[in-house]
Amino acid sequence: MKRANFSNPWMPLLFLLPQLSIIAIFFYYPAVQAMQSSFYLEDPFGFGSTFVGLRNYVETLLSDQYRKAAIFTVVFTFLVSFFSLSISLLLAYKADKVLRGGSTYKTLLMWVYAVAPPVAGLLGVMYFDQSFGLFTYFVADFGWDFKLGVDYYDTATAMVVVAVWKQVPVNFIFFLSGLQSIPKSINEAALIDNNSGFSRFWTITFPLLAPTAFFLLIINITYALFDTFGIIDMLVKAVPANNPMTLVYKVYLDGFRGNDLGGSSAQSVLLMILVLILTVFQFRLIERRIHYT
Amino acid sequence: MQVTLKNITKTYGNNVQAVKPVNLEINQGELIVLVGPSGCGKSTILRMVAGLEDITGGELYIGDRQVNHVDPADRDIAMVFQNYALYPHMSVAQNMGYGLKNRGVTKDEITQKVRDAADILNLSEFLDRKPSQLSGGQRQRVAMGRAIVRNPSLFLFDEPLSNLDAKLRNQMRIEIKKLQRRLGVTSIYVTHDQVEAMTLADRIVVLNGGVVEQVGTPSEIYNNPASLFVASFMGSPPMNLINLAKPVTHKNDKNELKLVNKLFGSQDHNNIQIGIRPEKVQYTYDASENSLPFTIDYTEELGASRLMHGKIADQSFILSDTSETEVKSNNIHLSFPAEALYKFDNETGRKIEL
Ligand SMILES: Nc1ncnc2c1ncn2[C@@H]1O[C@H](COP(=O)(O)OP(=O)(O)OP(=O)(O)O)[C@@H](O)[C@H]1O
Ligand SMILES: [Mg+2]
Repeated sequence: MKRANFSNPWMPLLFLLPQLSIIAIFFYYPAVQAMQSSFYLEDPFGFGSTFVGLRNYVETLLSDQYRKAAIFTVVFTFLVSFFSLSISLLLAYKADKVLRGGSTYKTLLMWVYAVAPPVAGLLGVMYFDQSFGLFTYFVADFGWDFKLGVDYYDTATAMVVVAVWKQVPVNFIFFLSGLQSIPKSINEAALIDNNSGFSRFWTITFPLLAPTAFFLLIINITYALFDTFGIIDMLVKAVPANNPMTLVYKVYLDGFRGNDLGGSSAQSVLLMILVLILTVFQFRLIERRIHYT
Repeated sequence: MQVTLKNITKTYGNNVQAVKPVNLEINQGELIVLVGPSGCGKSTILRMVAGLEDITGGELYIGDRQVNHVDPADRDIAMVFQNYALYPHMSVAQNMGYGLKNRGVTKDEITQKVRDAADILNLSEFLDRKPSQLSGGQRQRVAMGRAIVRNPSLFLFDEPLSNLDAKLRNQMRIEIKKLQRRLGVTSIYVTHDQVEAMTLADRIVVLNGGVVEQVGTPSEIYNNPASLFVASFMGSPPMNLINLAKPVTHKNDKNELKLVNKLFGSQDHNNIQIGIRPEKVQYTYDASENSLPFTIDYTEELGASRLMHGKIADQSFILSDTSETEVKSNNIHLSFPAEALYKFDNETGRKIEL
């Protein structure tokens, strides 16, 4: 790599400034604020705040609703990551065999990625809505009375389906390029060594895809935790009622709908800690077992 | 195991007929080398035998079994690839044992067989390493090891040595030959290197544009080339060819051509090429009745031999000689022993019997 020499020692700082200020303004500043306000009880009408120590945390952790949302978040994240990864891997594996190099399909599939989460949510509403949803009509014929926004499990199903649908194309593209980077002759050597396609996949293809899969796993967990906000908001129409929700959505709901800034700040600090633990865990435990070529 | 190709053809999707009907009978234990210029269809034929490429037409037999539609893993073959195609996430031992494991061989037996193969190939100390931790030559050995542990009835090699440096290539070539003799496994070996072909083969198949030009032992191919293509492709330096039908304008060249024509007594049929191997040409310093004057343009010293380049009738001509004797003059006279001459028909490219 070429080494740059700056005559002025402030020069590098100048180049870093845009990035640093973005991080400072959009991450550190709000993070510090959240930490601060998590120790205060805000007056609902904004007339002042009282220092309450760890009360917000204790209340959050003891709350039934928080526990419920936490469990749902775990299940939701697991389901979304699992299905979007496995469906896209299956599609990519099949596609790889027929379309070495063909890019039209890739582009077509990639379009879904360009759909903004709220729009994806809106599309989901079209399908799952109680009065005009296509899916609702369809399953009604089989005797399933699908009630989006009313029935807990029906809403959860819709959330998972829409979230998966939106994430599959991204994963697909990554998996496909991962598959295409495996040398042809390795697949051919395997073809001679092993006559079971299933076993070939798990002993050769999958281990060689592991770096891609690991990377996508992190991306997908992050996506399910944080980026599904818009989808959930559309599907539950900001009406919590009995609906399932993720922890991130609950932060928003409690803070901006419930005007409980202190409690919601405590929740977001807890989320930050969770993400930190998760990241360390992922890199420490999983990365070590993966072969990078 | 005997291998038979009956009218095997291959047409790729873009309607390129890469292999025209090929017939070949390979005997048990024989090492057959497919040789030819780039794009002549060598790899395609090998890959059809391996089952990695569909056979467009014809029949392929391994032993008595027709295998056109048999999966590669069920053909009882092993293949060594040009880039070795080792599994990067497996150790050397796992690489070699993978094919056995999938065939239900017990763990102990796999360990034993892998160890034996590693012994033969001097790989014992590397069994726990990953391919990325090996040198090119060692990877090549692992690829060989992966082929021999399975004890298949047919080995297929697709330019397995072309990624090695010249010295290692020579060494591995000898090892492959020894190993093949020792195991007695029928083998098909693809290369575009004619020296490799000559030294390795029991029989050589010379291919050109998807067509088999000639099948024969190395000495048959060298001493009795069936066509212009074989004559010019096999041998280093290649055979000298003088095209008697070549139009020449220069008066001197014309005279020379006439002289050549007379020397070779080919007045009956002028559309031919005359061939002679460089080492069969004899030279003297004085003209004689059946000699041709020749000017040496430049000389190439090869150590054991010496190549002298010049022109006859404006067509390049090489003679080779041992380097022991010194050449005293650049103007010499060539003579051509009748038994070393070849005649080829310009139109068909085939050899004309003298
Ligand atoms: N997958 C393919 N699709 C279309 N044409 C192909 C394909 N593979 C090979 N060919 C064509 O078939 C012909 C023979 O190819 P092949 O790979 O057998 O050559 P080769 O003799 O092995 O050459 P080389 O010495 O360069 O490896 C070539 O003209 C090539 O362009
Ligand atoms: Mg080839």
